[in-house]
Amino acid sequence: MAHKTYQYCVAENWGKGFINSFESATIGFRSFPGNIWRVPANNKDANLWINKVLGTPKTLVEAQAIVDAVITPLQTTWDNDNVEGETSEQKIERLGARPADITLEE
Amino acid sequence: MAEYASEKGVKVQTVAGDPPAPFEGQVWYNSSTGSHRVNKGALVSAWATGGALNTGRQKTATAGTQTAALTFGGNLGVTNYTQTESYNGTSWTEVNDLGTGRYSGGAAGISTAALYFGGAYPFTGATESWNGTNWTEVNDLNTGRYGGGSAGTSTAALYFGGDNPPDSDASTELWNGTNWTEVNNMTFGHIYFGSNGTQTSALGYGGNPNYSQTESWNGSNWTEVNDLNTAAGRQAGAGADNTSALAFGGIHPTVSPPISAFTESWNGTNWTEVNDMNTGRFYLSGTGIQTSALAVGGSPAPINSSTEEFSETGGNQSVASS
Repeated sequence: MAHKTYQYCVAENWGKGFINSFESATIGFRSFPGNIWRVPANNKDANLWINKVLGTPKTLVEAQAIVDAVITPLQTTWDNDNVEGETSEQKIERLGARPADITLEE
Repeated sequence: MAEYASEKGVKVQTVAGDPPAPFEGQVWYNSSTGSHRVNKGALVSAWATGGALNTGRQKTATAGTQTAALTFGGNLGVTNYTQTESYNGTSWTEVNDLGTGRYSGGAAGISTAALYFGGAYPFTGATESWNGTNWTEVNDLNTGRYGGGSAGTSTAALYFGGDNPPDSDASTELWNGTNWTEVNNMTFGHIYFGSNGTQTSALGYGGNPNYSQTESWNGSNWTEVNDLNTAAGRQAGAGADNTSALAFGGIHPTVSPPISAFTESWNGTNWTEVNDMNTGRFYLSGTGIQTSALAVGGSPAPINSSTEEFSETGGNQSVASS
């Protein structure tokens, strides 16, 4: 069985106090669309933080599905939003870059 | 002194500077700065989540400090925002709107006396002054543009670089409280880069599409100094002058993932990597100083309303005189 480097949870960032300086410095966060947060696996501080924010743990597959469910419609909307005669550079300036696929790591 | 000696059994040591390896709790007198100093343990720098904006958006401009800030303008899609929000260190409150909604202009000043200049779209040199309650339109920039760097106060501001299509622009303009005057150009034409400082001591770094160059302004001229460790564009910055700065976020196309949470600290000579932001973002805005900064909004969705606060704890600190 592969060793897990990360664990994932869903938690809504409520703003001030959601992640404090100590947690940020000791845990190492990465956030993804769909309120998905990645923290280290088998880490006491990370587990305490998930409890604090009432995070709902997700498997890698579940977390990836949530991220995809946010990204795919954004990509479709971006692809279908076109102005006649507009160059690709002008489209990027108007809309920003096309939302990129995100692949979560185990 | 006598109290310290009787309590601790030793006198406070006088050092020309700071000692090379102080232990936690050690107190000394820094004869160079004329202040008592203390070591408060290992230096830890980190980002924490801040209060959420009422209106999530990207490309805002922000003035002030981490605990008293003002953010204004911005866009999402084709919507240009006039919204202005005030931050008290905990939460954001909507206040009176800008006269002209636009994004990616420059910001200077504090939460009760700010200046917003330039921006897009359409490309403009419009300048508005905030008196703590309302925005008032004042004299325009000489060259309307967006995505430039900014520094200074509401009565002594600096706007440099940016984009005046079809080309990026290296021009620098100086605001004296009434008018903008063109002064010496930057070395490079940067757009969407990090910046900070005052009208006489400013710094610009990075920028689209993927630059690492840093330029320092001494009040008269721009000089190229040492590069960022990681080239990026669309980042933000904070800092008091050209000797202390913090660069954060952006897009670094050659690094995976390309949306950056990287944070680098400038000591006047070199950039050093410090702890990452909790959420990578670009088209954000920043304000504050090197050790106490605020990152506001940005992209991609849905992080447009989130903010982060950078702080340093521990290390060598000055002791307040009693």
